[in-house]
Amino acid sequence: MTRRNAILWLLAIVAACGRSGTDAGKGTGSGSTTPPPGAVTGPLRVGVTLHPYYSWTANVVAGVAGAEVVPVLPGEIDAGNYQPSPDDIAKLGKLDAIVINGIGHDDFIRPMIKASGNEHLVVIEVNAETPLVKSAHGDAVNSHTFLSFENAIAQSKLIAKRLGQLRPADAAAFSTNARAYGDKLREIEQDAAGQLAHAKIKRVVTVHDGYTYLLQEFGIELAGVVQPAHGLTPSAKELADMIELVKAQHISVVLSEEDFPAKLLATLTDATGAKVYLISHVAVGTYAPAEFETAMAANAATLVKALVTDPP
Amino acid sequence: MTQRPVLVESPSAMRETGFVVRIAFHIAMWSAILMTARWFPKAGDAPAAAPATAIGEVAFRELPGDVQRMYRRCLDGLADAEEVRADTGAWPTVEAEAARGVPPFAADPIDKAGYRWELRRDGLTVNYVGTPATGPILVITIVEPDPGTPSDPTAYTDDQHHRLRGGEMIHVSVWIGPKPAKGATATQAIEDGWKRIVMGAS
Repeated sequence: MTRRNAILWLLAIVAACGRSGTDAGKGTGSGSTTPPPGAVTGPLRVGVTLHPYYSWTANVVAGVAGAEVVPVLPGEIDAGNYQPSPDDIAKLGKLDAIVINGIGHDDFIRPMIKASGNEHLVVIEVNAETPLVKSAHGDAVNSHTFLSFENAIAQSKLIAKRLGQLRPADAAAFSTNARAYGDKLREIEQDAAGQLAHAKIKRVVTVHDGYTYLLQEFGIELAGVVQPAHGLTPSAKELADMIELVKAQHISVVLSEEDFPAKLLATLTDATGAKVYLISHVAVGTYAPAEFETAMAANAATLVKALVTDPP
Repeated sequence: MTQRPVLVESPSAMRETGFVVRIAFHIAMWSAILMTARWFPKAGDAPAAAPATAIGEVAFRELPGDVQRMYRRCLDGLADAEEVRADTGAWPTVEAEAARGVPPFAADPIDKAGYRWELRRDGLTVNYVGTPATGPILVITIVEPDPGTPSDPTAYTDDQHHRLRGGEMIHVSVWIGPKPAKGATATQAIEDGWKRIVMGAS
């Protein structure tokens, strides 16, 4: 073999190794990991970072002996305003698994897990197998996947699957529970879809970028988002631009979150005549298994009111 | 003008081998460093930019909203079908899934394209083919492993590799394109305009 051929062969081999590494990286990039070798046999303590994850996980483990869902954050604190406390870090030390958003809504949790010293904690990233839409502004992914019926159904199943790997003896029960919960959510969604199929208004503006997944499920178009980014108040120019857009596109419905500044909202509605409807983020309150389905049923009813029954 | 003799010699076999070994060492070392950095990103690192799509792929994020919606419903249906497969050993029929209200097989009042679904099977390959009155066809593709294939508990799962509850790894994909081939196929014809929808790319 000549020197040139030897070098070409080496380059080909290395390139093949590099390609293989890239493919392998796709798996890790999804955040999907295999379960730890040691399955949990005693009590199963599953932590959650967000309110919807409490409801989903509580429904998945319902009736399974020894399974407990532990909210890491106090119920009245929105994850967007959360500051970790020593007590909350201590909670992490006693968990077997934790359900997290992992794409921007609970970035505080990884340093907390590290600080807890719990090296056996299984992290369940619920968005690992979820297709992510773009944010309204910029190129980042929209992390509000939990404000959605279909994502709730799919991610509850993913939680069931991961917990089943952790506690194989209860895998079938977790799966059955997740499917029953999914059927319950789907019933709410289908009831609303039946009405929203006849929506008189098909295009809305939202003050917050959290409703894209939900609106897409009901075939409602998003004309614009007032907030320039998650949690940021729009500048005077950004608000003026949105007023122009609402006027130009004859938008008559604005969907808002509960705590958006009332003064800014009044400026928008006074200038355009658009009507405001509130959509819950399921972000604060008392943790409860039924919290998500109750809030989302109310959200669906609000959409029906805003887009079907209220418009003349 | 005086002539000066110069002796020109080819490299010795040992020197030539040393040269090749040095190049090989550098290639291997730098490749290892780059690959290690890709395989083991630091905890807390922001997600890397989404990889570009390959030929025959289309990124979910770039699809129109109504197609994104259908793709999400396809994943919902696929997840449910996987549960049924784990429970019963067989892939569910479209009618059975529709009766339980599982998308995309159930009646969909929001769907203006009018998708109709059919199940096709060929050995280890299963296709759920959704044909609309107008618009692109969607095909949910599942390929099971050969019977007796040992399960690898360390295998990663992603949008193409799912693990059934029993541990079996299956290949899955959702395709969008024109009229599909007859029967069930593991892939669709890229040359005919078919594209696989990928979640993580842009």
